[in-house]
Amino acid sequence: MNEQTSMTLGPFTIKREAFVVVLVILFSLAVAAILFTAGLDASNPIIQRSTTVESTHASCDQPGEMPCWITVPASPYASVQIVSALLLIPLGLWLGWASREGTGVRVFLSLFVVSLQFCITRAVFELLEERRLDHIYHDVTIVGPDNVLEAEKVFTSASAMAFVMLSILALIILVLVHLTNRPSRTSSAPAARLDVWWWLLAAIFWGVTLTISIQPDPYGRIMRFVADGIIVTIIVTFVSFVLTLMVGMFGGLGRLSHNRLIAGLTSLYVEVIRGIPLLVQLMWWYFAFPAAVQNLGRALQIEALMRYQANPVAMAIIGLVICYAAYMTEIYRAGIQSIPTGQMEAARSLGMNYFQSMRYIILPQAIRVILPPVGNEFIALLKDSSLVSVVAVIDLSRRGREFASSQFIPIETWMMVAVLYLIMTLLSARVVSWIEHQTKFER
Amino acid sequence: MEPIIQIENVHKHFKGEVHALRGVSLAIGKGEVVVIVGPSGSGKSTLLRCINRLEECDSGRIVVDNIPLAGAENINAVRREVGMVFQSFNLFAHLTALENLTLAQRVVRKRPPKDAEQIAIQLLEKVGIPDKAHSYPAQLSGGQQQRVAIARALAMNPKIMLFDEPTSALDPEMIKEVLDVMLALAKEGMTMVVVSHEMGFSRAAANRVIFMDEGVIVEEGKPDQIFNRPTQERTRLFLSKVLHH
Ligand SMILES: Nc1ncnc2c1ncn2[C@@H]1O[C@H](COP(=O)(O)OP(=O)(O)OP(=O)(O)O)[C@@H](O)[C@H]1O
Ligand SMILES: [Mg+2]
Repeated sequence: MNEQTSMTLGPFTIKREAFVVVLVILFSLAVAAILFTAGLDASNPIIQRSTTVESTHASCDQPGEMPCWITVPASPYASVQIVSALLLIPLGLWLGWASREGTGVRVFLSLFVVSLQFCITRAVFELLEERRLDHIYHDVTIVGPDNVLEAEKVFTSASAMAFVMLSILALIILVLVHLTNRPSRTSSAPAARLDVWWWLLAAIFWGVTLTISIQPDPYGRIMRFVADGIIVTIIVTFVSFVLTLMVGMFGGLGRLSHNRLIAGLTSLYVEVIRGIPLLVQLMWWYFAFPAAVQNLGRALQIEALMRYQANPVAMAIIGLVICYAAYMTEIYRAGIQSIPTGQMEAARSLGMNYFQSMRYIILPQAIRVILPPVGNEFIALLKDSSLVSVVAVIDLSRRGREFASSQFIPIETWMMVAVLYLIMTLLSARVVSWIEHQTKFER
Repeated sequence: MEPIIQIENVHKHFKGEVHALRGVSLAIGKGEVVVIVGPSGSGKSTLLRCINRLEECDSGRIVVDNIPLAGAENINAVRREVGMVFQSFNLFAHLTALENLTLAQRVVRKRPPKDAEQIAIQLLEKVGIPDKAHSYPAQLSGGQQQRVAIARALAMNPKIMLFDEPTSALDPEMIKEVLDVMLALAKEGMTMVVVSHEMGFSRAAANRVIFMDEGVIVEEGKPDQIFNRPTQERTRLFLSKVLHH
């Protein structure tokens, strides 16, 4: 690897840009950790509880006993935190000092590894604590609502959320950065450089981290509330996208078919679907389609059809797939047509049948051509998946709306939702460009 | 000599307008090397492509290795026996030279990957570029690409090889390396149908030279006879224009 753009990090060699991104991310984690410990810990139930427990059990004032400062902390949180820090500080120091960078960078490196450990341990404990509070809260509600416990729970949830998110995102980004740095297998071009958009992603990530850490109320609460919506959005997007890829492939092959009927039908499908707004299509699938099925059931006297109820998620996915597959059909068609006819002729002349030729020769080459537009479609699909919130799917937008209207904080909620979408789309864009680079080959 | 390719009164129209083949009949024996010459647009490529049914003829009969091409179901069986080399190489751009040679062996001939690879390496040695096994087509010169293409066709153990102007897209210094491979193949007794205006190759390897014009076979005979003592006026005219001795 080129010496000017890469550096060694302990046993690893990484690109300088990758290193800087990791640095920014870890830096934000460190800031969050410091803010938490310094400013907010006094009000944190975990710390409060562990100190109370400590003072009752470790009897400092009795002479002849151990002095206070070597008392083993009573809370398991503190001991785990300390033990894992003891294990990770040497690792951080080793990674830091082993690199051939300046002293400042080495110190930073060491600190960052430690702060990552801090966040993960903290996240685990906040989650455990939340679960414990859940039980207490449950018992308490039987007697009567307890405002203190409720507030405590909100706080714990929010900070658990923040730390879990931080840890996961930090790990994802670390893995991505690692993958990005692997040289492409098929291309002799140098490995993908991390472009400036990684910086934007890192900056936004940093901002969200800080916001959630400093103000768990309301940002941590928003995060907590919309978390299941994020998962629904991701699932709907991925399932729809995979189905779209498959349906679109058949559509593309259909449009290129020599069979007039097949080609005509697929063209009709594309033209019709592209002419109807996605929102209207979603409405059709969720409201009109089930009604149509029920009418049909009534006409035919079939009990099962009469009682048919649409599943919102399934209908949303069907609507998205049918709409996006029309666009995907055109992308596939253009991709397949861009491959010289000689490739197909050569494959056929070797005795491969049509499907073998497509499978082994045409599609692998077409896929490289269509990757950029397919990547764009993925991102568009991710954003358009917010439309499914109007057909009773509890996705990120829907959760945002619920939270904003019940808590009367539209500004904060919609900011948070927008930024969460932004993080997902920016990350997707980076992944797409990475895959693109991996599959490049010379013609 | 028993014929391995039989073409009887074949006609071919394109889009109902161009009458590319107008009643071509030809019998090619096992082990024979036939060179087809003729002006541009005379239907040479079309005839060749009809033999492995890249084009379907409108009327007439083509029998290859005792299999009539009329039935669609055995077309892949015929194509397995007939190798084709194109003017523009048509190597699979996303595969290395070695993978170009092994793919069809694996998916069509169902050979185990090890065997396919061994055969591929032997063939690359035969065409003189074993060191380019892991190069992609774009990293090879034209002559090297065409030799890989020949090896790719040979890897299927065809009984017949069709060449459609294999050297006309090549720079002069690369033509020889391809012709040498073809010459060696002819010496081994491969049945070959070659569209080419390379006189040297025709004289050295061809059993028969066929002159086509406007979709019909105008004249055929030994290379020496066609090139030096053509009986038809059209042949004489074409040779005087195209072939430089
Ligand atoms: N796919 C096609 N569609 C329409 N017309 C075609 C097609 N292929 C060939 N033709 C026409 O058929 C005629 C014979 O073409 P062919 O390619 O067989 O000529 P050729 O002898 O190989 O010429 P060349 O020496 O230029 O390669 C030409 O008039 C050509 O324009
Ligand atoms: Mg031709």
